[in-house]
Amino acid sequence: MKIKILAFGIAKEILGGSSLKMDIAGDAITAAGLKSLLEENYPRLKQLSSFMLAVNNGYAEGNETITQTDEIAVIPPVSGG
Amino acid sequence: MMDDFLRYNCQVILPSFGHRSQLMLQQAKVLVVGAGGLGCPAAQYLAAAGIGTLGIADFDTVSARNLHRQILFSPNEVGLKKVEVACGRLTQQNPQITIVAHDLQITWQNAADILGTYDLVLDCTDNFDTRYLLNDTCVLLKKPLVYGAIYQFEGQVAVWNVANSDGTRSPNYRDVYPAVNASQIPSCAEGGVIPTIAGIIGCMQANEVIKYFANAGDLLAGRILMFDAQTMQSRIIRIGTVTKTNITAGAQPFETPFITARELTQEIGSDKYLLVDVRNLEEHEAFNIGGLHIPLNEVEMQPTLLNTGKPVVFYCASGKRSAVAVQIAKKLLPGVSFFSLQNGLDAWLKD
Repeated sequence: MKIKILAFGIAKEILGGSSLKMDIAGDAITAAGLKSLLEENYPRLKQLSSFMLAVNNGYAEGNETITQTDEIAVIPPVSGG
Repeated sequence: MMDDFLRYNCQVILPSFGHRSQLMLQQAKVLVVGAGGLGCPAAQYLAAAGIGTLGIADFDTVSARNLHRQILFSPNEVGLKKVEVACGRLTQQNPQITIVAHDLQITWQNAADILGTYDLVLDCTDNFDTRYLLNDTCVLLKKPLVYGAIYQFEGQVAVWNVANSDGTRSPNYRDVYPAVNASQIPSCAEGGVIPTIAGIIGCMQANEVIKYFANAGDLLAGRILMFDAQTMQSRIIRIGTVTKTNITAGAQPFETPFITARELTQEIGSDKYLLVDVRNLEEHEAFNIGGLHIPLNEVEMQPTLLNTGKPVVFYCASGKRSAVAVQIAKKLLPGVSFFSLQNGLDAWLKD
């Protein structure tokens, strides 16, 4: 399946834009699975130590299933003030 | 009393507000940590709205490079203590409230004592160490923390650690970001920031504080609001109702060893230290004081360059990035001595 991922903060730079289409084998993936796949494809995400993955505007983790119609957002921490 | 009536009438007549809510604001004790881009507008609105006791904590001085978004300060105040200028201005703005100046850095030694005297804290800081320190201290002291953070055109707002009716607490910063590698997240000085996002997010923080004490509307508890000033889109991410963290002790942040500009000037010809500029390439090419150039986000990839047998002095513009570099490098090479040039090239140029 093809999923669309929105990027925020420094993730825009790491993922190369404010949104990205990604090919995933099969027709579903868990939140944890997508997180590790992203970290594998974009090692700088792993270097952040933590980033938030939001699915349909909800914090997503663990076994939560993601399918093609879901809206996915990668939201890294922000420090400025 | 007549003064109060006139001053606050337009908010008192709001639906779900009233004199009772105004009294709650008057009795509230609120601490703003950081008198910067977020803290300036947040404090101005909280003072204007009649928060009874308003504390401002900051240890820094007014800097020309931040005037574009730190709207309590003027060019003729560059170099003065931010907390003094801010408190003076806020007192003029609302002489009826109590303004408390805390001219210090919040550290793990003093955090509980200072935060303990307030009902609610605003995180208007510009670095992760202090954000985690405020978060953990507020969790331990059972106080709500109104969080704001900005980068380029984007901002985040949330209210952490609010009491739920069953005695549990709403999520906190560590539910969303358990740990952060600060060297990989650019600050406003590196990535840039549009001044108005500081105003927008700072006002949203003040908005949540007023709602909290006036018991009006729905707080951003268990949720984090994201705002993008480029597209003007906002979205609210649901985190959950109850925190999953178990914070039992305050984080003891790493204490950065410093070297002052004066100390470094005396040693500059002696080859005693390995100097490393951690700013970006444009900044390095515009002006530098020699040594290696390793941008902050590449420091962790360069252990061999840093391991020369000499103590290392990292430097940047203000001393913030070099302090993060010391933390990162010390983890890589525990046997090497690392120092951060205190207050960066700003201090170097002044001396």
